[in-house]
Amino acid sequence: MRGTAGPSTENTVQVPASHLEDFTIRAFRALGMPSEHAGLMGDQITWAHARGHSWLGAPKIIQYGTRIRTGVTAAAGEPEVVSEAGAFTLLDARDTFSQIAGVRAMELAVEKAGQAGASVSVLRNTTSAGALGYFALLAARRGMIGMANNNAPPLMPPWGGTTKLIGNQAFAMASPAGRHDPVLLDMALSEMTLVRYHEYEERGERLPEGVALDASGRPTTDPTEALRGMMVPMGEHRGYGLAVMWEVLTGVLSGSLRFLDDVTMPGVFDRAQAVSMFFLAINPEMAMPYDEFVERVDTLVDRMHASPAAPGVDRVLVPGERSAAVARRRMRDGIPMPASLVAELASFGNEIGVPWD
Amino acid sequence: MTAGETVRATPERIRSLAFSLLQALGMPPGDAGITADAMVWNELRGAAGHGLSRVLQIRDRSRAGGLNLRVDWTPLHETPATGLLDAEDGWGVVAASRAMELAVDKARDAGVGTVVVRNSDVTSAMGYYPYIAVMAGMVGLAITNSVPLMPPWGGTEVLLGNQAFAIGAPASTHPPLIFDSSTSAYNMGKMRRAAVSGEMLPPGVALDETGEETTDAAAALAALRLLPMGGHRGGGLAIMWEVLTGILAGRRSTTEVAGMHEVDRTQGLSLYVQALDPRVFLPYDEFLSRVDRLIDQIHSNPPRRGVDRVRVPGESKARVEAEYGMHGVPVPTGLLERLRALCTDLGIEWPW
Repeated sequence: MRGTAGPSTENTVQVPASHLEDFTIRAFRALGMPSEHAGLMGDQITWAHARGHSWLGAPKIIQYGTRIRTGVTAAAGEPEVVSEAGAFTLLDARDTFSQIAGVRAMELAVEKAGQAGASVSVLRNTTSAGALGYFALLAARRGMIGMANNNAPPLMPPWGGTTKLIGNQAFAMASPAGRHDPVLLDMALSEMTLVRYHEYEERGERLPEGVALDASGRPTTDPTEALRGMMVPMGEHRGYGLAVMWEVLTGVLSGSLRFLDDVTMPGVFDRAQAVSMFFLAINPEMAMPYDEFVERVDTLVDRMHASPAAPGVDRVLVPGERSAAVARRRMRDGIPMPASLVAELASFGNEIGVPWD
Repeated sequence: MTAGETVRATPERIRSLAFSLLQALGMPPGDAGITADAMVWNELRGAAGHGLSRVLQIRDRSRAGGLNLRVDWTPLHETPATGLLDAEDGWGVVAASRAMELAVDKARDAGVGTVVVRNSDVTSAMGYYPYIAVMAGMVGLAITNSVPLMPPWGGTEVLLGNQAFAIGAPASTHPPLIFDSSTSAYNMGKMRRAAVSGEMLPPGVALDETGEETTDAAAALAALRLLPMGGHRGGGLAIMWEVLTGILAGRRSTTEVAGMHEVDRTQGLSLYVQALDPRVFLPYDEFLSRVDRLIDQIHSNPPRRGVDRVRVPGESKARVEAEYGMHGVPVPTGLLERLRALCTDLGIEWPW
């Protein structure tokens, strides 16, 4: 099993989760976001950082804030319903943030699934979704199975190819449980992501075999070459095939003017990203009473927990369990952040008239 | 006669042979027709293991009591966009096909149709079910759970199936996209072939009976503890696919599911199928041209050394289909002899 990044040697600061959330809300309000939208942004950035997706947490305040300041993403505005049927809705975010438009799209899917049994929303012209698990969990908290995916900017070649063409297509699924926390799978379709390449580079370590390609499409274990190069799909051709089909469900189906390698990175500030997203909500009552369903999910979780663990593994966990434990600890004890990140946030806060403290 | 000897047969002949035998075995004509169509589709695409030879499996399983050939397919429950079917231990190919047809019907009104099935027998290759949606101009998704073959990530004993699934989308200037996969890192058929030829498995695909990783195909086959594709990611997908199948369908799940080789036991598989109608969002021609554009862009990607060209999911099988469609499907003469004997046994005429 692959090693993960160890703790940084840099000075870290414990930031109370409520402080991060409050700063995020104040920052986006100062940048022109309506209060309710800023609240959603604060909730999602804090949620991601607390669960350990630190690169999708506080650093995004600066990146998203810069998108507003350069005018490439609008601070306000609601998505517009373009067309719909009883269980299928197409929305256009009109270059607003997925953190707001995505919530609207998933809420609509959940609402329609109440009557229809299961429903899909597709959203176009939005931004990178950050932690997609947030959207899937939104459905699970309302008693439904939720699934969310987006098309990412081009980061991988097609299987057998040598130039970047397709995103690593972040993907999340969640199910409500009864006695247990919701089961939450939150992943991307690449073997490793950019932030991990950065961590290996900072530590001066080589990458494991099979997780990166250099710029000419050859396998590499050099993280610097990997950052200039490309990602490898998880499970080889299987992950590639899934990435193609996720592109069909997002960029192709949404009718967005731009899809596939025309989607741009969130750090490109002179062009809208043109991300498309897919949201599915399934009402378990399509098949049985809700209580019976969550009892069945509990049984699945119990069977996972009762599985004998491999040598070196503490115990068998269900998807999302580790992150939920990290989040509980961080909500109580504060979120560890590098002092340099806190300094950057404070400096960004000064620029927009929102003090960090 | 050598084991490798084959004769070429037209799709029509394969269908008529399968249809006659299935009816004689006791399948009602509607279900026999669905099963024969799926067999022909798989034979044409070079997936002979999911073709005519399954007639013998249907005979064995139905005679031993594991498979029910007389199923009432009336849905147990419906909403405007969903359905729940009880396959009553019937043939999974019929269950999955009928489920997808119901999903397509629902999607015509609601845009998306979703159907779950309980108490199903083996579904054979999954690609055929999204293909049913594709023929109706829709995007299709189909998932099945399976007898436990994989330990949960970090575990040593099997708990989850390798959960075969397939997704398909129609195209216009190209054959449809059909992605057909499982959540394990390695395919069971390839593992059996490696065990016979004595080839080593790649690392990271299987555990042996002690729960240690192995590259010995025979040891892997004896233990049947597959590792998931992409490590914990594929392991996570297998769990979520179990939620959509075994958990949501409301009957047997994980370790309660039986394998297809236990001929006298009902399998208790569950299925999840979904059809999405792109015409709700876009003019159909525009949707097709967007899928074509996706395929064209993949094709124009420069291949790495040792790869002749970059392909899209389902393309290799579509090429076989074009060739077999023109020149006939190679059918092993040994299989035909066994089917001829079955005709005699059932008291029907050899239809060729």
